[in-house]
Amino acid sequence: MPEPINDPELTALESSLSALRPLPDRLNRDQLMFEAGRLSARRRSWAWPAATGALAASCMILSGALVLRAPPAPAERIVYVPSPAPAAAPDRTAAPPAAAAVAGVPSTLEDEPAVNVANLLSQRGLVLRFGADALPDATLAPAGAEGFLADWPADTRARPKLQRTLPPIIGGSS
Amino acid sequence: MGWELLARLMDEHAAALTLYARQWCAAPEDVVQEAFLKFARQDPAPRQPAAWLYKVVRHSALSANRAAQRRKRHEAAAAAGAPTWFAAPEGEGIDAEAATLALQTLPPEQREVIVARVWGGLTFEQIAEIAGISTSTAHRWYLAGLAAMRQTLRVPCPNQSTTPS
Repeated sequence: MPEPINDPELTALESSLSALRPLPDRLNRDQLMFEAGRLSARRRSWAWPAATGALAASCMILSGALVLRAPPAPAERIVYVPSPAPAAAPDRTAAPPAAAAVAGVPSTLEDEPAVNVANLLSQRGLVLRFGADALPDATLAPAGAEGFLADWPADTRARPKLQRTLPPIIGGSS
Repeated sequence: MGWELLARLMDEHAAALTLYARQWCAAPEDVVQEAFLKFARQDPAPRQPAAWLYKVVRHSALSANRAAQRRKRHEAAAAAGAPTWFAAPEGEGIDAEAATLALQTLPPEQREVIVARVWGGLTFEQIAEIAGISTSTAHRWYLAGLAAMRQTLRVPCPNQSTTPS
């Protein structure tokens, strides 16, 4: 705690000096109050501007990536198409599974030299085209007659079609 | 922020703050205005508004003085240019110009304490905190400055010349 001034002259000088009034300040009180109010109202949080800027930047980046990306490569797909069986004599040893899978064909056909795989495939094609009526009788007709059509009923609806379609060796007319 | 408080501080302390800043810079009004604007932005308001203002004014005025020194390279060039710091007294009293010259001849630290104490109305504790010194040092500088001014003001000043203490 500072000691009080004991010197009366210093005390008198202090009183005389305090009587002097500093020069009036040249501050514009109204202008200063206006500026103070304006500055205090300017304070705001930077959260929303920062969020807006971040979203705008990400939007621009994504748009640029979308425009500049390379076109997608065409998708290549391999489709296996079964090739038709050749007209030449097939190799019996090469296609036994397919021949054995034909419906209604007795396994003894393998021993028949006149029946070949090509005929079996033709029959399958006929069945697919004309339905079950295209199936021949299980007992094969001897060669020289109408082929396997000899034992077919004459009123079979598929008979004319078959006659036009089948090769002559098995009873066809064409 | 209480606008009434700001208005009252301006009415009560603007002139004394300008005198306080005039010790160091030639544009004390700018320093004082900036201090009031800084005060308006404080949230919450300082507990001791007057002492806070004096501290801000001191810091700003010293910065302005350092900038002026770099330009003019003279320690008291800015403050010495002012003819008088006080209004003409009504009736008998110390001559305003003589008092100004007496203050200008004081060492800066003594002048600062006297201006803050006599015209700013601050306590020695507040002055010590603002200046970064101890309370006893502030009191000692105050008494030394008054003694020096007493010597200066006793000597007559013909033709507005000053006798250094």
